[in-house]
Amino acid sequence: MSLEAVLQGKRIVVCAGAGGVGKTTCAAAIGMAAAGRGMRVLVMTIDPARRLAGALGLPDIGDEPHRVDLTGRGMPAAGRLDALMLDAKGTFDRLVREHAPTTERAERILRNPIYRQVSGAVAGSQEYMAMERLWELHAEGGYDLIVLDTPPARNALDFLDAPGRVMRFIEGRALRLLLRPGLRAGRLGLRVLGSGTQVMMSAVERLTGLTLLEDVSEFLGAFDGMYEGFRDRAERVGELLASERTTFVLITSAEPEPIGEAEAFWQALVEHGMPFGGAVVNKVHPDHLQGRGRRGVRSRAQRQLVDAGVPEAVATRAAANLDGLQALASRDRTAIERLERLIAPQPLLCVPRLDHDVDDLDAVSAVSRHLER
Amino acid sequence: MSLLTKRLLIVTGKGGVGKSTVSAALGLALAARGRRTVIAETGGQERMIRLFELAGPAGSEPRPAAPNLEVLSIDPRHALQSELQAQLPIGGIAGRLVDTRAVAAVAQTAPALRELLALSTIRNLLAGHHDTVVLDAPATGHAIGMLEVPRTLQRIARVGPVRQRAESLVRLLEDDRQTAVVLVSTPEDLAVSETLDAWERLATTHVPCAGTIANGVLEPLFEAGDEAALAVVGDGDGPAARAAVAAAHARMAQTAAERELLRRLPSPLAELPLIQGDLPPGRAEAAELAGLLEGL
Repeated sequence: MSLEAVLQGKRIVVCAGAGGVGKTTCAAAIGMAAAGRGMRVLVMTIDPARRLAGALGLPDIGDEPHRVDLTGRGMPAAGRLDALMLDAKGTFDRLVREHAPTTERAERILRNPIYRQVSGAVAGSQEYMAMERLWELHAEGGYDLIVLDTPPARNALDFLDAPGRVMRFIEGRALRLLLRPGLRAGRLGLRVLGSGTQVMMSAVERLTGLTLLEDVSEFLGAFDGMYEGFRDRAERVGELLASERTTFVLITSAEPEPIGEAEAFWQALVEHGMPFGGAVVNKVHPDHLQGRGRRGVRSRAQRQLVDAGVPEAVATRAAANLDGLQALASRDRTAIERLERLIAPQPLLCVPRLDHDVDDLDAVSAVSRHLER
Repeated sequence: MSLLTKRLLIVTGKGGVGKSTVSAALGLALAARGRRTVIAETGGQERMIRLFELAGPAGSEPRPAAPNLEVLSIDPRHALQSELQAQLPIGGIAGRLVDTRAVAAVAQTAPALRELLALSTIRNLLAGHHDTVVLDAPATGHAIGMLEVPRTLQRIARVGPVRQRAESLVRLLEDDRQTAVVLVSTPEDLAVSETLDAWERLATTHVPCAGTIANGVLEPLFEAGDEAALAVVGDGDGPAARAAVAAAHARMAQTAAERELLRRLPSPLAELPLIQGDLPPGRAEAAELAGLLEGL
């Protein structure tokens, strides 16, 4: 099975999985493979550590697509690979400007200390903004394929629920309930709904300091009337992700923990009825015995090495090393087979651990060749 | 001043580099020195519970894990709830109210507040009967964001308990006699790059960073001259011998690449070997690593 089957008829590939498995490199490799077929491809990542920038040999990437230099890599003339590093805060600011009824209102929100504090920090805001930008770029239509490298998710639902969480935050339904009289009066009033609320209010006030609450109330007031715009957009993003133009690809290593997370993610995708394309298992330990059994390999290797004229001590070390690496390879094999059975009939692609762990364009290119095998 | 005499060690690094294992090892090393230590994990992954083979779930109360060593899980929502409860004048009704709207409202609106209260939990432990807290922090980006929260809130909240809390946390976090960030990195290109980024960013936060611990380092196995000795193996020799030579070359290449990467790590504190065997590592493995950290 190859990558071809995964990409067939797709416009968007969402790469999902745990951190530390080489997700960004794999996302870029999927992009490079597609560009190698003559497609115009964009790889989007969201990353505080500028990971994609490193992987793609770019000094820095902004919120706008940058062309990745693929000269000398045998790309067809039509093929093109762009990369973009998402700036969650920048996207949020742009959304505010777009949805605010007046420039003045937009500026008021952008200046609000609560907004400035939370626009980059609300749980799910990075994921949500990734989806927003994805939608924008998809709608602009300049690409045949967009590959989205998602932030490392502890929980699959973190990603899928992100729009909902951000919407709930912007709506601030619970807080609105709490602040309603104050909002109406344009200031924070103490004439509240009931004594219970009043008790809470004073507790919250004492905890936070009054000015914080005023800022919150101003923040929510400033967003008044903008929810519909936001909600419509979030719904359209959700529809796009669930559509048949999109496919989710799980990226994992063969280590037990990421594999476990990949399995949970797959489960969540299925439960949400999301389109699932397949899995990429990265950094797989190579099987030096090429399928021949591991049993007795240590003594067999030792004997054969000594027979070939290798000194006893060196043979012992080399045999022990082979045995150790084969143990890792067989552990990987077991985990991979389990994941393969789980996701069947969707394909599982393996990428071996590369000898030189340097995440530059050559590494992306090497991974991309393995995906094409 | 040595690392193991600090009161707060904040352990962070790229996802997947073994922060929890290193936190557990540091906790054990501190406990072995007779310091009453607590490992505080964040993110609700219950790694410490599993590592120390305690019956779950992890709670917000410290639980004994080894002599002089306790573990707890910091749940920001719970921290917020107990804080609101403490602020409320009445008991029973208050509890019910706090459970519902206030917590949801405040938690949703001010994520920074949650992080502030999570950090306050640590300060409270230090004010109590613990000598040292090892914070098994989130991955670098998130962890540094969390460390910036007290300063940010100091700017936003002009009066009140949040302001006081923020001020006292800033004092704790920025005192290099008490606090140190420890960056954990594996000898992998991306992990090292992220560590270097984090090192630079930390320099702007005023929170002192002690240095880096390299984790998952391949132990030297082959000796000089081994490669030449293995060169006698040719196509005519047995398949296991040829596989052993290929595996030896892979190992040598990886060792050399790792040495190169480790040289880039700023202010190295220690190197911990790659753990062979089943993952994730357990108590025995953490104890073994703790032995290597005792001199810090």
